[in-house]
Amino acid sequence: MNEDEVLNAMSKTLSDVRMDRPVEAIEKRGRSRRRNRGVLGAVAAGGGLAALAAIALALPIGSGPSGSAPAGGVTAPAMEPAAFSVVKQADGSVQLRLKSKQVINPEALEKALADAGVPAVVKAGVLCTPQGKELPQIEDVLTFERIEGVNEEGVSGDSEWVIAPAKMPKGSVLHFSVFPVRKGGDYAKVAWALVPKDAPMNCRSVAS
Amino acid sequence: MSDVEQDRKDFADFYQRSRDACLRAVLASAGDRALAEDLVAEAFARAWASWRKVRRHPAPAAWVVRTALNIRVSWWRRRRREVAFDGHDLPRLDDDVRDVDQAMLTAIRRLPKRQREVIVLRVWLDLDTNAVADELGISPRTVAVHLSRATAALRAQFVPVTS
Repeated sequence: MNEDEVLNAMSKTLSDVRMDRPVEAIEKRGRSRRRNRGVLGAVAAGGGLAALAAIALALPIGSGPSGSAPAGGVTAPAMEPAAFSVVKQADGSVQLRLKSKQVINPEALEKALADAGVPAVVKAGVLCTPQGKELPQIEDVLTFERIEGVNEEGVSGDSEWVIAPAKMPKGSVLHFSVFPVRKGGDYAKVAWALVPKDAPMNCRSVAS
Repeated sequence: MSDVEQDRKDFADFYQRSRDACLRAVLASAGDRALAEDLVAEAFARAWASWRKVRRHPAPAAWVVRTALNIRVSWWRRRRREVAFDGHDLPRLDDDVRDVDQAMLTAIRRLPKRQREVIVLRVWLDLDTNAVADELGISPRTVAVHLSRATAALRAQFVPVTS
């Protein structure tokens, strides 16, 4: 296939996809935005929108260096070696992998992260969200990437975070929650936030 | 016809003419059919809110696509940072996206950002090299290089089907 053939093939991709929202709904939403713009204009003039424009077309999910060779040793808990891995990499970043459908020992994971230079709090069984604001540096500190395919146990859904401890503000911690969504079920979700150390968190069970 | 009526007619024509292409372009980057439609609808609404400015843009559809993708970033950043282990919260494609399209879209989303931008604008918005260059603020020669690399990467993953 030459370049034109590739482009031609691509142009036929998604040919069945159509936008079916009526123009009236679009116009209604546009009028609403126009009315609200007077209120929001002062905020926009402060530079918030300029910052937003600078990230045009960026993908929301960062591409962690999952393929790079680890420079440091693997730090893993003795009792649950398959549940997670924490690897310090040559560039100073820390790769955290959590395996799907594994019981995670929160203390062991906290210690492994601390040993790798990442101050962290890990809670299992509950979803914790900050009572106050998250630290905005989260965007620089951490990227998340889904690991495609299945792991060595044949289970899909493993997840990977790449953490830059050097970019964590002084006195901050990464707060991870690993929790089930059904009573008696496996850990199904993980949530995270960057917060000041000892920041109050709302922790609750979401299993039903 | 009043100016307002003329604006509405122009915008409605633009919407009818561009909406499918914009949706496909955003879907190629966003991956999630429902999310892409929400983003494109919001971007068109913003275009209507600023229609007198947007209509003068050299490529209004490109403005819509880039706005939709900017919204995507801000929405993502406002979302609670939470994922499911089983992948049920992954971007999904719906029934009107065929398997072959899904494979192609996956390959496109793996391209470097600039190559993906060029492909999206070139293929789904049918912008020529100069228009893509203007939209992205890069030279036409750079556009050609990105396009060449992107198509080479995609070509390596797909083989033509002969009948």
